[in-house]
Amino acid sequence: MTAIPLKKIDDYRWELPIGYVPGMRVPGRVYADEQLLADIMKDESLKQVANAATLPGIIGASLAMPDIHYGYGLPIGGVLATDVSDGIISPGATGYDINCGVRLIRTNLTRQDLPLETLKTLVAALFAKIPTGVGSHGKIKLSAAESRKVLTEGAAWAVKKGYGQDADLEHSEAGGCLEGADSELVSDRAHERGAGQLGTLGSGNHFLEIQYVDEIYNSDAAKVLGLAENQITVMIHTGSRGLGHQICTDYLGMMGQALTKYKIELPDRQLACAPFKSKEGQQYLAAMRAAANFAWANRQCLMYWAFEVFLMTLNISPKALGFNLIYDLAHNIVKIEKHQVEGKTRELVVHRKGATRAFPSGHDEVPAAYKSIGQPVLIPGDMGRCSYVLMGTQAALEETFGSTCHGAGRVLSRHQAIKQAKGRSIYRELEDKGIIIKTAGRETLAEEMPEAYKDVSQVVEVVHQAGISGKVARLRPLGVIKG
Amino acid sequence: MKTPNFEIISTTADMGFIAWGESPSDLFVHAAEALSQIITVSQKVHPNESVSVKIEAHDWPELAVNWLSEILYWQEVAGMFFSRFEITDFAEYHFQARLWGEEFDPTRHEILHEVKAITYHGLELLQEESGRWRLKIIVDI
Repeated sequence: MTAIPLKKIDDYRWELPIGYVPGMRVPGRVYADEQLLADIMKDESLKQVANAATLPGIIGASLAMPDIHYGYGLPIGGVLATDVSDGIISPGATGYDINCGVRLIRTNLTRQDLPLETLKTLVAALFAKIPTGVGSHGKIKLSAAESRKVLTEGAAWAVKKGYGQDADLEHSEAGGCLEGADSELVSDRAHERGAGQLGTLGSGNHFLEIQYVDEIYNSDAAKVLGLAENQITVMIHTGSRGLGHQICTDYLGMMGQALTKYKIELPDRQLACAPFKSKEGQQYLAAMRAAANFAWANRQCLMYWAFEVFLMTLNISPKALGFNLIYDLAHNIVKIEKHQVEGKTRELVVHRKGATRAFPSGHDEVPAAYKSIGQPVLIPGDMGRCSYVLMGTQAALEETFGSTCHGAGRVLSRHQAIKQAKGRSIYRELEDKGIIIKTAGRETLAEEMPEAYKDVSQVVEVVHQAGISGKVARLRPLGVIKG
Repeated sequence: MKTPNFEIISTTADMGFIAWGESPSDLFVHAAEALSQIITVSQKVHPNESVSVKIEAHDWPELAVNWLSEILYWQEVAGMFFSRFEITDFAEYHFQARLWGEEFDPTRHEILHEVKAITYHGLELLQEESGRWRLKIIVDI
C-alpha cells in the first residue's frame, strides 16, 4: 500500500500524483472510501489510471470511480476526457462492448402480484423467450440494408418495427441514437457478427432482472420517475454484442499501426489511439456510434420481448401492466460533450469505460420529464443484493465531466469465485432469499455469485457522499436470467 | 514431467492464458487450444468439419491477436466450436491455418465463457532461455 503515493483529498477523494508512472500529463483522481481503496489496491487498476494520464490531450485528471477494477487499457470504472483540438480518441479506452448499458422499466405491478409460483413461471418464460448465452441468436434476421438502418437509427429502428413506443426514445440517453454513425465504416465482419444478434442478451455479467423497489431515499425524485415502494421494475443490462466487439478489435488494430505516424508513445498497446481530428479518429468515432446505436436497438428489442412475456404469462392488458421505460443509458462509450474547463466552455471527447453519465437538473441532455431532478443514473449490483437508481448532480458536471460509477465492480476473479462456490448451491442460496435465477452457461452462476462483486451499496454511498450522484431508490432482485 | 501446453489464468474481471510451444507455429496452435478451453470443454467438440483461414499482421503481437480473433469470428458467424488447429506456411507475420470443429450443439457442448475479444493488454510473446516460445494473452469476458 505504501508503494502507491496516493494523497488523501477528503474521505472520498484521492489523488494519484503526476510521476507515479513516467509520462503522466495530469494526476489521477480516485473516488473511494478507505475500505474500497484497500480492494482497489489489490490489483493494478491504479497503474492503469496513471497510464491513461499519459495520453495526449487529456484534460483535468484521469478519473476512477469507486467500482474501479483492473481491466485492459483503461481500468473498468475509468473516465478520460481529451480536448477535441489536440486530444486523442481511443477504442481501448472505450472498451469492446460499445454502449454496454442499462435500461430500467417500471410496471404497475407490486410485489404482491408476483407470488413465488408466478415468479418462477415468469422467469422460466423470460428465459425461454429471450436468447441468452454464448453466440445466442435472435429472432430478427437482418438483411444488409436493414442492418445499416439499425446502425444509423438505433432504438428508433426497433420502435418503427413495432418493438416499443416513441416515449421509449424520449427516455433514453441521446434519444437512443447517436448522430454521425456511418455504417460504411463498419467492417463486413462486424456486420456479419451483428446480423443474427439483435435482440440477444449475451453472456458474462449481462442480465435481465425482475426487481422490486425496496427503499426510497428521495421521494420527490422517485415520484417524478414514477417509482414507489414495492413496485415491480425490470432491469436489462447488455450491449452491442459481437458487432461492437468486432468494431473495437478492427479499430484497435488500425490505430495500433498508426501510432508511429502520429508519434504517440503508449505504456500499454491496449490504449491504442489516434488524434481525434485524424482520419483514423473520425472513422472510429463514426463506427463506434454505429455500434452504440445497435446496442440501443438491442435493448429496445429485449424490452419488447420481456413486455410480451409479462403480458402472456400474467394474462393482463398492456394498460394494466404499464410497462414503461424509465431510462436507458450507456456505460461504455465515448461522447463529444461541452464542459466548463477553468471557466471556459470546451468541447471534449469523454471516454466512459464502466462509468455512467450523470448530468444535473436543467441540463439540455436530460429528458424533459426529468429536467427538474436530473438525469436518472442506473447502477446494477450483483444478483443477490441490490441495484440503485441515482440522479446526476451539478458537482458531477463540475468535477467528473458529468460522470459517476456504473455498478458493483468485481472483487474476485472468476477462478476465485468458482473455488469459493465449490460444494455450495448458489441457486439454492439465492432461492432461499426469494430470488429465482436461470442461467445458460455452466460456470455463470458461480462466477457471478454475489461475493464475486464489491457491495454495490458501498460504491453508491461513495458517489452519494462525494456528491457526484444522489440516491433515489434501491431495487432488490426477485428473478434473474443470465447468459 | 511433461510441461503443459498452456495454463488458464484469470484477472479480476477477465481471463487469459499462458501458452508454450517448441516453435512459434506450435505456440500458436497451443494458444488456440487454450482459447477453446476457456470457451467450452473442447474435448467434447468433435473435429468433424473445418474452415481454412489466412492470418496476416504487421508484427508478432498483432499476429497472435488476429489469429485468436479469427477463431472468435468463425465461432460466432458459423455457430461452431473448434477443438483442433493446424498451421501451415508459417512465416514472419503470416500463416495459413485450418480450424477443426463442429456446429454448436447445446445438448452436448458445455458453454463456459463468452469471450468478447482478444486484448493486447499485458500481451507477452517471447522465446524463453530454454528455447521454448511463450505467449501470454488476456481475453475480454
